[in-house]
Amino acid sequence: MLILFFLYVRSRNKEKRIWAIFFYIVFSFATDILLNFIIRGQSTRIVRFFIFSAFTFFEYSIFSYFFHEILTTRNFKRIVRIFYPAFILVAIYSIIYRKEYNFDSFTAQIESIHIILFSVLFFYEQLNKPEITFVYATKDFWIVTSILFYLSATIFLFILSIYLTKRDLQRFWSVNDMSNIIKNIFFAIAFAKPAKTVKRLV
Amino acid sequence: MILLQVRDDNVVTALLGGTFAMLALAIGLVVFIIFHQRRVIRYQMTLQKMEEEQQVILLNATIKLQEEERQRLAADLHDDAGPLLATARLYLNENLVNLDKSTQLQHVSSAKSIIDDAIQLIRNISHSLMPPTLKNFGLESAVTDLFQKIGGAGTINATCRFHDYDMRLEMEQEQIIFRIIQELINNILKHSNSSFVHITQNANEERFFIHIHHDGMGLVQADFEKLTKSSGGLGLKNIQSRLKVLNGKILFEKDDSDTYYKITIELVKAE
Repeated sequence: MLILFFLYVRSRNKEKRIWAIFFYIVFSFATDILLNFIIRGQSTRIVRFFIFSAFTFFEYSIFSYFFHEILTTRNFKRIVRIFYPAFILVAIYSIIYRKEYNFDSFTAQIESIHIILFSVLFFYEQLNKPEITFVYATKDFWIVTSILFYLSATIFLFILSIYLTKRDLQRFWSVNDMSNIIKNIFFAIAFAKPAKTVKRLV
Repeated sequence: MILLQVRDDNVVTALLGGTFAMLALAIGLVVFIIFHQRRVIRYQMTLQKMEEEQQVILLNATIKLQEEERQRLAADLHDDAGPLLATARLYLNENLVNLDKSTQLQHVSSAKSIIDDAIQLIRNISHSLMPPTLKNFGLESAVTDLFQKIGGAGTINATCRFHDYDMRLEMEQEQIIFRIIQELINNILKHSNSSFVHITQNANEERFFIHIHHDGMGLVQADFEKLTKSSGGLGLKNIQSRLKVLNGKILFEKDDSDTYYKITIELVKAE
């Protein structure tokens, strides 16, 4: 639905960073289809692990690119550029030295912490911007809010997933699903917002 | 078994508590940003509105001043030039040809004298509108001329010195600066009760400065800003609007020694 909606309002979403979010949604949708319908049952834990890891890697890459585009302070951009290779190294290390092919909780935690930090940096910038357009009138605000809510809702699930029983993990995985729904609703709001020119205060 | 159950319960509690806390923080952050930004925008809009109101006050002051200038001009022409010319006409009426030669000469001489007065009066009005010295010889000569006239009256010691005036400014700029100086000097003469007024001019590559010093009662910047925002202070408002045209600044201050007031006019030179 969201993919079709984006294509319907694509004339309002010409910026590269919005298209990056669109590709993220497509990839997210493809991953869900893959995990829940295609390789269900016949798949091994290793395949599922690699699909999850690939998704985390792709998600982090897209979000980093998005924040790198929207952050305007040079130092904040630099933080994103430094954190990205650091995250890749941690993710590779975590995959190589893994003994059990469970959900890669550690990498997901690092991703959540980094992206939440980028969101805070974005909001900090908004506080100091001399613009008179309301922040919630922009696409970026809705996308960042959506990412922030999604990762805030799931970070504890990722941190504690290794301590949860399989039954509890399945039970609480609905938190991830719900935050995914909220995230997609906010993305839809962002896509629906008209592309506006920002008025600057003299 | 019981221990495991307790451990699981703790994990679930931590998971739920942590998730709610994180969500509350995220919502709090977003709500704070929205409300903070709304407050800032409201404040900026109030500032903008105040600036617009100030513009309207300045515009009204300019219009009022123009109107006063027109009225003064009309009064000068009507009250002075009108009676003079009417008197001259009386001397030169149709009956003049019937008078004897000596009376005719006397009438013509009187009419000539009255017409000379009228010419002088019109010249004075014209000079007050646009001093010929300013037009022909520039700001330095016009200000020197003005100061000589003021000093000549003997009530105040008026001196002026131009240090960096090798090249004339644009005519429009010079006119505006001259009007500002006239207004300031007028105020000093009317209100300050000073024993001296001194004007100096300096300039660098980009900027042009006029400094006026006097030892009477004067204004500081806060007084100037207060007066330009009040309903009075028409002359000061006019100075402000003239400066706006030149993209200039004015600074009223009291000297550290507390003995004299200083007014600085700073302008950007036209390219």
